[in-house]
Amino acid sequence: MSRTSTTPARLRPPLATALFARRTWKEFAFIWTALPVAMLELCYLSFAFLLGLIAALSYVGISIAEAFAAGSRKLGTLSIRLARHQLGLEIADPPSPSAGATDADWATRMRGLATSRTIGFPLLHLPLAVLSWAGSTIVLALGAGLSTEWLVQLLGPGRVQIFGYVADTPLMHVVFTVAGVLILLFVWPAVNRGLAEFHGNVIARMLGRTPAEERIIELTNSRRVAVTDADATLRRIERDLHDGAQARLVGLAMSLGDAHERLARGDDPETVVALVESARTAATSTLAELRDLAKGIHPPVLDAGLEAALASVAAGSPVPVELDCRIAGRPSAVIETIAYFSVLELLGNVVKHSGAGRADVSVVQRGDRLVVAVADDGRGGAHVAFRDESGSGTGLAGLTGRARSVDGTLAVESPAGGPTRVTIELPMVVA
Amino acid sequence: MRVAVAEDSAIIRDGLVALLAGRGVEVTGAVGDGDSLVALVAQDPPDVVISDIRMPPGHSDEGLRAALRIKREHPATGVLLFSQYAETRYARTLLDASSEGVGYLLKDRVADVSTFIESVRQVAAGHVVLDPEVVTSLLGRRRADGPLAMLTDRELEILRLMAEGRSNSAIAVALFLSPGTVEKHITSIFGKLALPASSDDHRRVLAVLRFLAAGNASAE
Repeated sequence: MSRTSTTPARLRPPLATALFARRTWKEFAFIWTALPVAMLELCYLSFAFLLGLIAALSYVGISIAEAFAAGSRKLGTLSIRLARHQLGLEIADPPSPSAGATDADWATRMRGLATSRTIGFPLLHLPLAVLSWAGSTIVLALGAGLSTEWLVQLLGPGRVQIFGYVADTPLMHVVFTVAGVLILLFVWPAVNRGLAEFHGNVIARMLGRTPAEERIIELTNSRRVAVTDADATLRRIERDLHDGAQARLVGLAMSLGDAHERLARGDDPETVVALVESARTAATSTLAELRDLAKGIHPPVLDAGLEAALASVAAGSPVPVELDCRIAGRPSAVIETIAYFSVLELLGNVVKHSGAGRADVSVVQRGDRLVVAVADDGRGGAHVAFRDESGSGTGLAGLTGRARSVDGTLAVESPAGGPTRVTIELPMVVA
Repeated sequence: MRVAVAEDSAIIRDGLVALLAGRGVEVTGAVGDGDSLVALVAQDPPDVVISDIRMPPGHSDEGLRAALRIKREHPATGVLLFSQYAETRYARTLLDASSEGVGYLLKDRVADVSTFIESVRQVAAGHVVLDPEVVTSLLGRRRADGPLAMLTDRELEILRLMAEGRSNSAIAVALFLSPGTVEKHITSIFGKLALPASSDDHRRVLAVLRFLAAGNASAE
């Protein structure tokens, strides 16, 4: 969630071999590449400031200034890409400036121009790049100079001066060489890494997404999931009604109409009895179907609370289910509904896919969160298959989307061979 | 009368076939989608087809498209659309394709078996039969300055019943009027809509089409 992102410690090579690690040299290359990039950014800013911001004083000119600002953001992605590629930092691209900004008034648009991304970053980046570059390069040169000083003096034409010091006794040569090797092996990689990471984190902090932007992106995605989900549900209900109950009722009307006319005509009672019988069968099956459909929309038992509803689900499950429900208060109705249907679907998965002999459902309140877990002793291998990054999809992905729509989460632990445990965390109350 | 049926719901399809067969109607075949219906008709053209609109594979308007194709390839075959929804757009598309031997009924209408069979016969005989629901929705969107603006409420009511395929005497009974009064109103309708003098049957169809066109104009 945070703008900065650090590399997991296990990816770092041990310091003793750091000099020969690929990663160290990638960091060094980053420091060197970032320098011209930072220069370019500052040049661009100066140019844009002269032309664009002055032009922005007129209403038409603001469009030019906005174009410059967009260019600046684009240039910023170069730094992001560099940090991502060379340092392995996970920095998300900043969102494009909010749509509809062109409708905004002049002052709003002006304010949108001068941001830390467009102005602050280029100003800060060059000093930072120079510092990193100089720091790392000087320490490397020092280490390289000291460690090779003896060799150069033996092979080369003259004496080597290091910060004005010249080694002229064997002891000093040994001290210089040892110091140089120690610098190369331990000091430089650490300095180099420290500077590169600090540099990268500044890029992430200033150019990456702000928590507010992250939140907007998350909300936009979860809203899309919620809306698509609702739409799909309505379509499914219409389809179920059309193909099911409506069709059965047409059949029923047909049988009754036929029977009525046959009776009026004085036809053979046997035929009429058969027609009425088929009408009755149609009526009962329509009733059952409508009941299932209504229950699928909102199960009446849910009004009595989540525990009661889940107990009824557990009782009806073909796989034995152990239910453990510990909730002090009642969650929001929508949370109860999401929890209920999630458990229903997860137990459905257990029955259909896991081959499990039993399942455990636990619903526990932890502070203001509701933690719902469904575990089974089946063969495992369940995973969330997203159709796209917005989180829509089927099965577990659909459940994830539904949880996210209320700021909840879904986690799946399901190694091949099992067991499987799906944990859904929801807020007790929807804000 | 020979009938082909297309309906994806097995319950309705089987019921319909049994119902028709029970009334001495010969069913040449019953299929579950539009393409099969077109193939069935090409093989053995019936007098009339009864087709659902929403059928596989797309569950949108497959039946309507099959009906239009049948009407194009076998103009003598009547086409009766049989749906759970009264969509004026579908009715309009069907009537644009042909004003002879077409119909559009809600599935509800099978409850009145004799009337339903009679409607099928009407379509087979080349008449237009529209569901009251379709007619009502068209009437509801009548434009104030359209060609129907000149008609009185009573005349509109009669025109509406004509669109449903009712005879003069049936209209008289429905509106508690004498057959003579109905006759007078109808003559007035023909006059106001400036329909050319021709056989009464043909004028009726024209009046109904004029009526539907007015409804359609306001929808656009």
